[in-house]
Amino acid sequence: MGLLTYPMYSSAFSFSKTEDIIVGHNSHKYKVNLNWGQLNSLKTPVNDCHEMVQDSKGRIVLLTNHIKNNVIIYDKSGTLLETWGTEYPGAHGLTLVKENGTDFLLITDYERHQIIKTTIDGKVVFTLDFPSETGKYSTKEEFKPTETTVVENGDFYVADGYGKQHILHYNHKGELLNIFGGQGTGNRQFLNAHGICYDDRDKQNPSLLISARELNQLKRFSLKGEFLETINVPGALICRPVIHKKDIYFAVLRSKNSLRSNSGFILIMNENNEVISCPGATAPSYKNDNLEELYQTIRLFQHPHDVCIDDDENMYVAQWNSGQTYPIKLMRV
Amino acid sequence: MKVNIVVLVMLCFFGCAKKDKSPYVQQQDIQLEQPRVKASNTIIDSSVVITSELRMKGVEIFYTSDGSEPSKSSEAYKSALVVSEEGRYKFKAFHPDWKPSTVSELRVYQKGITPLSIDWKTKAHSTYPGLGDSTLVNHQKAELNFRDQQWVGFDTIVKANVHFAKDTYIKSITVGYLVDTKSWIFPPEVVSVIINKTDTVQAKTPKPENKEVLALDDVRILIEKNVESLSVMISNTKELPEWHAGKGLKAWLFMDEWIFN
Repeated sequence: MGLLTYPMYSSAFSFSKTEDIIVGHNSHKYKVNLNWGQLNSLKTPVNDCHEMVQDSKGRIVLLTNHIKNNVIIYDKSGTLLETWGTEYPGAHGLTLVKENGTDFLLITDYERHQIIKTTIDGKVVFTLDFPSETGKYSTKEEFKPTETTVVENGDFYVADGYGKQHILHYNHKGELLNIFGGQGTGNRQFLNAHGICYDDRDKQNPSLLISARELNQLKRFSLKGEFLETINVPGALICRPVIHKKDIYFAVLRSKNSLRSNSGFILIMNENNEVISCPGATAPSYKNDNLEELYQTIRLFQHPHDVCIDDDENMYVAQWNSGQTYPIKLMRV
Repeated sequence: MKVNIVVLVMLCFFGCAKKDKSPYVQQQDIQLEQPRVKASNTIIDSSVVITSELRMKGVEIFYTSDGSEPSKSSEAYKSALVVSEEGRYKFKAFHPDWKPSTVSELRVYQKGITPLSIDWKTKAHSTYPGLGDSTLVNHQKAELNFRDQQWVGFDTIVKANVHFAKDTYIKSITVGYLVDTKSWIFPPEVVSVIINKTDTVQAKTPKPENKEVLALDDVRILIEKNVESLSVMISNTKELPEWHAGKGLKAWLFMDEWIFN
């Protein structure tokens, strides 16, 4: 048919030649939207985009260390809904707390050396200072909390990931109950205890998952602070674990042995804590039960710092030190 | 006629679709990461083994050994290379969905002559002494990490007299150095060599243009004489450039090997 060589057809054909690219592996594959959530950087700027959560209304809440607007709230399409917060220069950890149907936030600020609980619209509920009563800290500057997680009875845990690597256990009122961890390479210790999360996928045996980012390890502890196991993720500097349904998602800040620093990617584990997909990196593969070293294969991400998975199974990626860029949205396919 | 209408409708469909640009990343929008390259050694005694990988379905790696930029018509990398010739090996990855990578480069050197002795006139910085006075002639290259003990770090001019057995023919000296701009490590400004206390030869090195460079590099100076002694003088960068956080201050000079061929 002569029409096949018609110029407009060939132009249409060249369109169909460029396709939406798919990243990730196995059950977790995504299209990439780099334009999601772009805002006017003069009006609503970001520095590092540290963490993100989805609130009970389905909104996407972003925490940045830009003190013009520490919290930026979007809808899922990336439209700006509101901003608040000017007093969190070291805004780093963001955790959603649901109490009797009301949303609150726990923010860690490593420059203020504090944990701050706020309402979802930014009113401060309480502020926690460094735990001097433990005797482990001589000045507040030694305490640089990076993350919190909340368990069912309202108790919460704090990871001092940029400080002395302790994990602190508080009751819902903010009274200290326990301290464990600390700096080192032993089973019970951490180098960069960057993230912590409550793992209740096994309802009978809930536990804590804590990343030891510099060690490329995820460690499991009991709620009482007893070491249970280490899960190795060779090559991956994992930020906090984010549990969504049965899977665990991680932003990986960078690849351990890459020549460039901005060599991050995303890592996903299944319910057996096996790595099943690494958008932006090598396909996970196990040899004799050992995971092969993971590393970035495409220059899609720079320094991913957190992920948020919404109720449509889509993912938002917040990045640290990536040229003041807004989050990236990955659409599950 | 009916067929033509169908075709026209199809053309309109594609035409309209083209205006509605997809919000998602397209083929060839994003670049591949550069392939990883490893060598059993970068100084050749008999031979060395070079491997390269970018572990991703559909990736093809092409390479050259003469320093030219690899293309898809270069040699395809299929398995480990056993190399006995000095050269600049360059590797580049290609994939139908992603832009070709930047080039990964690896230099391999022929093992040089071991001098009789080295007489140091200035000292390495006490924090970066390497593995002692012979680190620069121990036939061992260093890795990119400046904490590698094969690196010898100086923050001043480097002066040393190198002695050889009588009538040793030396074609060239190659000075291997590190560039790590974020760690304030810059190339030498000038390398000068006085041959047998009489003739002076000199070379300069290119300054890093990018803000972030992490690379192994070298400068080679032709000697082409029978040599008993070489006085080597290498100056560190005296002033960091305008764009650097330490502008105006002196830079570190890190060397891993002097190769006399």
